[in-house]
Amino acid sequence: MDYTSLALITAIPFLVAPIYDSIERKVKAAIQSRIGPLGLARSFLQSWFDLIKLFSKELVLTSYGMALITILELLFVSITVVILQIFLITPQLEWVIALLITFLSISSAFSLIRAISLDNPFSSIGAFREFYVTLAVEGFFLSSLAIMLLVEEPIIIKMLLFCIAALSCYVLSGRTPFDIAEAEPEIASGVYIELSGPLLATTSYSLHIRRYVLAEILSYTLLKLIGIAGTGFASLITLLLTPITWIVLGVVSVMLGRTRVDVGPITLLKVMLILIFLMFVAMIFVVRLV
Amino acid sequence: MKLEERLRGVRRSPWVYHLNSGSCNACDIEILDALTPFFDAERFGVKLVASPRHADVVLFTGPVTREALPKVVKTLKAVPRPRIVVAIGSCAVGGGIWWNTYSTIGGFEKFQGVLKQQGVEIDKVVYVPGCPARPEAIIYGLLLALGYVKQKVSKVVKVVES
Ligand code: SF4
Repeated sequence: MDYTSLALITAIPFLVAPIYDSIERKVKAAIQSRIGPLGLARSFLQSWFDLIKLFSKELVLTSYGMALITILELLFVSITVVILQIFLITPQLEWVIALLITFLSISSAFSLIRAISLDNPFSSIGAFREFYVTLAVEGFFLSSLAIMLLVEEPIIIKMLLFCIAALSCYVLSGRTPFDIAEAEPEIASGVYIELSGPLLATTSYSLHIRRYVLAEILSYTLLKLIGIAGTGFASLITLLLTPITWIVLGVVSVMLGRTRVDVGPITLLKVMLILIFLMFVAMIFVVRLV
Repeated sequence: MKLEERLRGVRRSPWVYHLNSGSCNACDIEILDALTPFFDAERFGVKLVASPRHADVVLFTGPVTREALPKVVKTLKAVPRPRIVVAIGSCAVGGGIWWNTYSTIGGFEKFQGVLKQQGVEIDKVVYVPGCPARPEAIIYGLLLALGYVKQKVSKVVKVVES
């Protein structure tokens, strides 16, 4: 592959992530019998308009450390997405998978550090909630992803791993009811409360890219489940499937709009443990059959 | 950068923050109504935010009670520039039924004097009268602040001699 195509493929997520977010908003509006952002430009670019506006606003800086962590968070999410795109091109390289999983965990660690670095009681409440949700899924997500990408396993185990990955992708993308770290009116935006102008734009952009990473991983694992991953054609399908996955996650969030946020994390933990238990049972059966 | 240029960025994505300075709550209910799917303010990119640090436009209600005064000043200080305020309801416009009472400042016009003393600059103010103001009027006021529509009434005060 020549350098131009490589540059193009790695640039795609940075350009399209806010566009997918705008489309998600439009789809959500349609489900709620609304029009949503008006006109063609707004339908596709509303999230870009938000980011551009935030960059032009005044920056009220409450601590330099927070600014540094916010920028580092964007940097690590960007590295993760670049590695993911390289993995799409060369899925057979195992060290790329190892690198991807490492950077996935580093970037989520940075979002946790950002949450606790703010000197605000509402932010502390949000950070505590973010820790709780991340602890409930992150370990399961990374291990199931590693097994799925590195080992060829029977279909029943593959299906259970896919369920864990899909659930984790939804939760880690910070959609309802797992947006409790932010929980807008309840704790006044929680972990985002003190961010303003360009710093808020940086964080929002990191979130868009993070959502892109999760949607693309979910699309890839779906192809892996079907058994068509690993080819150049499959990589193209993954790229085309990513916006659909993104919007499906958005639609699920509308469906879960009326769920109780307080029982969300504990229900999630229970579901995860049940899935892990089922996987162990399936593994024992598979071992006995062999 | 000039104010008009800075406002142009806000025009496409106005994030609003609801600030109650001691209203009777009827205007606040109308604001919530204006932001419901029925009126669908997201058509203009409007998004309700929960922190003043994220806000572009403050939807301001109430006559500013003395009790609420320090908190309201602090909140407006937290809004990054350019700061736009839409003063909603007769109370916020000029004190309304609380005009000249001991416990209120008497609307946003008078409150601006206090803000000036505290060094808080407000870049643009739009007044939406009504007791309570209608949701359509609130959206119109917001669009007026953003420059989507032109002001229909002039500021001329006519005194009729009897
Ligand atoms: S203007 Fe009327 S409805 Fe609005 S806060 Fe004042 S008294 Fe209440």
